[in-house]
Amino acid sequence: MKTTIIDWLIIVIIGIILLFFLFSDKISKNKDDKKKFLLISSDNFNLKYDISQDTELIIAGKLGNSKIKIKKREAFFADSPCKNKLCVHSKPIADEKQINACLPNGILIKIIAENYKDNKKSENIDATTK
Amino acid sequence: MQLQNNKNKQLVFWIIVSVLIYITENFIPRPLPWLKIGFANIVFLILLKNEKFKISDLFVILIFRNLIAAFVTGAFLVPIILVNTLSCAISIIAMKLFFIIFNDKISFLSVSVIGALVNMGLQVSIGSLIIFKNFLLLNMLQYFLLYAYFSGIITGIISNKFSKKIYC
Repeated sequence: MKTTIIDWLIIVIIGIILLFFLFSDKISKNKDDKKKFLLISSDNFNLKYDISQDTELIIAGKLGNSKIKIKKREAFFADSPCKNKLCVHSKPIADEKQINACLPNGILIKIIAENYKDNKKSENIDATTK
Repeated sequence: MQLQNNKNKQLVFWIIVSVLIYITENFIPRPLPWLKIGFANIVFLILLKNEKFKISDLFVILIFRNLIAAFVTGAFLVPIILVNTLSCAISIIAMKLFFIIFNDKISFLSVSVIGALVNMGLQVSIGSLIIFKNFLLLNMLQYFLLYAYFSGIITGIISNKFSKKIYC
C-alpha cells in the first residue's frame, strides 16, 4: 500500500496533539502549580508571603524586630537585632528550598514552591498574604 | 466445505505467524512488559484489509496468539496477558473503523498509529487502575503514547512494505 497525503496529515495532527499533551503539563506546572512563597518561621508562628509581591516586613523575634524584604522575587534580611548580622550579609534567596536564618533572633526564612490548590489546605501556616 | 477448510488453514497459518513474531519480540529488551514495538500487530493490520477475514477471525487469531504465547513464555494467567488481549481487541475495532471511514484514502501507516495509540492508552489505563490501583502510570501516559506513536509509525511502514509483496 502506498502512503497517502491523508496518512501524513493524520500523523502530523496526532503528533501535534501529543506534543501539546506532553508540554502543556510542564507549562501548567510552571504557571500554576509551582507558585513560590516565602515562609517565615519562628518558635511561635509560620507566615507565608507571595514572593512575587514586593513588601517589607517587621517580624518580632527573641531579641527584637527583624526587617525582612521581598524585592524582585528575592527575599532577604534587611536588618536584624543580632550581633554579627550574618543574616543581613547573606545572599538573597529566590529559588525553591533556599533558606536563610537569623538564629540569635530565632527567625528562619525559606522559599517554598507548592501546589497553589494545596495552600488553603495547609494547616501549619498561621497566615498567608497575596 | 473446501473453502471453509482453506480459510481454517489460513487462520492457523496466521496464528502461527503472529505467535512466532510475538515470541521473537519478547526477546528484545524493553523497560516495561507492555513497551513493545508491536511487530505482531502487523498481522492484524494486513488481515484487516483482506476481505476473506472478518473481524471475528482476527479476534480468534488474537486469542490463540495470546494463549499460545502465554504458555510458551510462562506468563499464563498473568493479568498483563488479559489486559493485552482486551486492549488489542479494542484497538483492532478502532483500526477497522478507521479503515471503513477513510476506505482507500489511507494506508497502513495512519491506521497503525491509531491502533498503537488506542492499544497503549487502554493498556496503561486498565493496568494502572485495575492491576496497580494507582495513578502513577496514568501520570506518565503522555510518554507511553509518544512511544506508541513512533512504534505505530514503524509497524505501519513495515506493513505497507509487506502488503506490497502480499497483495501486488
